[in-house]
Order: sequence, then C-alpha cells, then structure tokens
Amino acid sequence: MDRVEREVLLPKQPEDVWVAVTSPARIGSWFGAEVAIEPVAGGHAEFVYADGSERRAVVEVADPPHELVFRWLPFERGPAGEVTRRASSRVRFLLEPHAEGTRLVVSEELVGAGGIEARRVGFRVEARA
Amino acid sequence: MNRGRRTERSAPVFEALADPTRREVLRRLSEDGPSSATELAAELPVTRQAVSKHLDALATAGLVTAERRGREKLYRLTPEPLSEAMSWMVEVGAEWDRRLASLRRHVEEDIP
Repeated sequence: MDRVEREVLLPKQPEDVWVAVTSPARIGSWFGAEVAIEPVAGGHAEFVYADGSERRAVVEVADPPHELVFRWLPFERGPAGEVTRRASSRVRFLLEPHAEGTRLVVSEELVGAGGIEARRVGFRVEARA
Repeated sequence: MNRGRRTERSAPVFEALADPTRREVLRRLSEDGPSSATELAAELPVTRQAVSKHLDALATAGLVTAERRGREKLYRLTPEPLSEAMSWMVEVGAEWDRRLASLRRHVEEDIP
C-alpha cells in the first residue's frame, strides 16, 4: 500500500531511454517539471513545477543504462518561497532490454520523513501548527 | 500542489497497518464502536498489554484517538489518515501514468 509501480514499453534501446530519463534537456518534455539532475550516486536533482513550487531529490543509484534511483527530500518550497513538509519517497527507474526496445519499470515507495536533511541542503523549515 | 501535511502522515499509517493484529483492532473498532483495551483483548488472541501497545502505535499514526471514560480509556477510529494513505497511492499512481504516457509520446516522436 505504500508503493506504486508502473511500467511502459518504449520503442528505443535502453541507452536512448536512459538519455530521455536523465538528460536535463529531455526530461522537461515528459516529467511535468523543469528538472536539473546530476545523474550520479550522491548527485542532486531539482524539480521546478509550472506553479513555481520546487522539490529536491538526492540520487542514490545511477547505473546507466540500467537503473536510476532518487529519493525525494521531505519538503517542498511553494511559489512564494514557503517551505512545507512532504513525505519522502524513493523513485526507482529500471530499464530492461525488450524485443520492442526497452521495458521501463518505475516504482515510488514511501520512506520515513526526516527534517535534518532540510537544513543540510539549505532549506529553513518553518514550523506549522 | 498543496499536499504537504496529507502525504507526510502516510508513511506511519502504512507501518501501523502492516501488522495483522492492528488491522484486526481497527476492524473491531469499526464494527463495535469505541472500545477499551480490555474489551478488545477479550476478542483477540493476545494479551491486554499487547493490545495497549498496538493501540499506541495506531494512535501515533492518527488512526485512533483515546478518551477517558472514568478510569478507562476508550479508543475510537479516526479514519482520515487511512483515506489520506489511499489518496497517496491514487495520486502518485495517476502522476506516473501521466508521465509515462508523455515519455512514450516523447520517445515515439523522436523516431525518424
């Protein structure tokens, strides 16, 4: 119940799908946000949505062209700069070769929330009643 | 995207629901209404102490609240976090459906 998984068959080789998934120039076309990502373990990712809100993530695994894992940090910055808590979750992209190109499996799973990470990356979390 | 407090409560809810005895406690509260730990323990194959611990976990997850009735505590279901957890699944699932449909279109358009 704390995990969602979806898959899609894509008519391209895993190497090409990897680029579509990790290249800043390409992600914006499908993700639903402007994305800046360092696709290496320990790298950071920033997502800016159309309404001006932002979320950040940490890349945990980057194994081209097979697997990309990032973890959402447990907060969001709203359009006016206000910071609110969000549940942290881990997103995993698995790219498997398929007769028709690539089978992409995406999962998102809740993980425990943590406020310490907010301060480490420079967000000041305002307490809300 | 004002889902802050809602989704932040979901992880403890899923943890609370992971235990079958806790799910049974919720089911009994749902059917029988507010009950004490003693009343619940009478219906379950675990001790009253174990039931109290489970009720604490459920209260932490916001799934039950306790009120004092004389010397007893009565526990009552507060199912809102449960529906929030379900909402998380539905919303996140829908988000990925949208993204992957866009990704497929993006990949297909790129083919000469």
